[in-house]
Amino acid sequence: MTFRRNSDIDRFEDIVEQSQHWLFRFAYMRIGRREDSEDLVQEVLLSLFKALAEGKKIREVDRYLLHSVSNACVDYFRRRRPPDLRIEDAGGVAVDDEDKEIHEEFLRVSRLLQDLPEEQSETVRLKCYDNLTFRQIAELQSLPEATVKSRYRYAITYIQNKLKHGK
Amino acid sequence: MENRRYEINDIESMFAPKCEFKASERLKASVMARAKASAVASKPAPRSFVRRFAPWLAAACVAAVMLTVFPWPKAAVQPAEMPAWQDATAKADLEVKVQPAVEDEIPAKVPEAVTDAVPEAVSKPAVEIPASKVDLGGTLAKNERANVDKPVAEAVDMDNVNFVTEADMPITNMENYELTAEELAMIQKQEQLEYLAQINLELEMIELMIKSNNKILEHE
Repeated sequence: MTFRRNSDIDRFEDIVEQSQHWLFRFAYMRIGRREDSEDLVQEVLLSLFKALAEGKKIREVDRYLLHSVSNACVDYFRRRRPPDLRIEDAGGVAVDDEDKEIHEEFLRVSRLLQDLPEEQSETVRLKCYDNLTFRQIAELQSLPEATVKSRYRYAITYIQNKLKHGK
Repeated sequence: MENRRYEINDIESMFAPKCEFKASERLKASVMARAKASAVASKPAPRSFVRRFAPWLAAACVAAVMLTVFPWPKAAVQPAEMPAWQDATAKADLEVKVQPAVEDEIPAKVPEAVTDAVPEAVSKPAVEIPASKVDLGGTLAKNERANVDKPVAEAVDMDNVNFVTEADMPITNMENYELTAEELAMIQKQEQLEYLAQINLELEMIELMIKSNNKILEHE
């Protein structure tokens, strides 16, 4: 897929319409803020448009967007997230009424994964919340599929024990 | 085990989305506005005719320069264009090769085209160019031949030599592939003569052996 004519703007608009919501969800479940999430998604979509306008051939747009938004979230936390930010602090962030539901969703999932290592919690998010396969997760994180499965198994086992013992 | 699997499903369902996430309209509008602005700003200028064909023009110039600096090799000289003195030398070489074959007792089969040239070569004596006449500059007279160092055969009496002409050995005449009665008789006669000669030779050998044996016995 490449952009060569002005009519391709319409095609890009269709791509934005189809992917903006799931990109926003991906970013929000990791960042927890609408403005930052939408800015991040905006940069991801514009990078796609720039790549296509330059003549780069992109076979799978969704795969390209997934990789871009995942890398953008990693860069976001490297640049902006302070080391001592915790879930309790995130719960105190001011949220509009229309965003209460999604913010509570963010907090709920974050509490379940808060005691896990970052790589295991991210694996669980990708598998359960974003509904990716182990192969897709392995490709996204540049890891062997066996490593992804083992991380997922350790995370599930930890959460099982945590729920059984009521921790 | 079954309880464990159920718990895993429950855990996975716990992590499933419970609400719908929707990006605001501002996001889409902002993205499209910036995309259109970048598309207009980065619109490429139409390529001119010269820029489109610049590589081809450069290749054509390079080829023209190479043809000018390195000219095309000339073709080889054809045999028909040889000078006259070289042509005469070639004929003399051919005549020298033919004359030793003519000296044999059995008449040699020489093509008719050579018969016309040979009498002329035999009548003329061998021309030895003296050293004073040798012109290293290459300005020899047309009648004088150069490089006459090869031996010339003795003159042959052409009256008693039977030359086989082309009519005697036609290629397409199938009748010549069959032996006539006279040829067969001649071949048989030759075979008989050769047999007689062989027998005579053996008889002489036996006589010599008998004589040598008698001498040996007499001495004893």
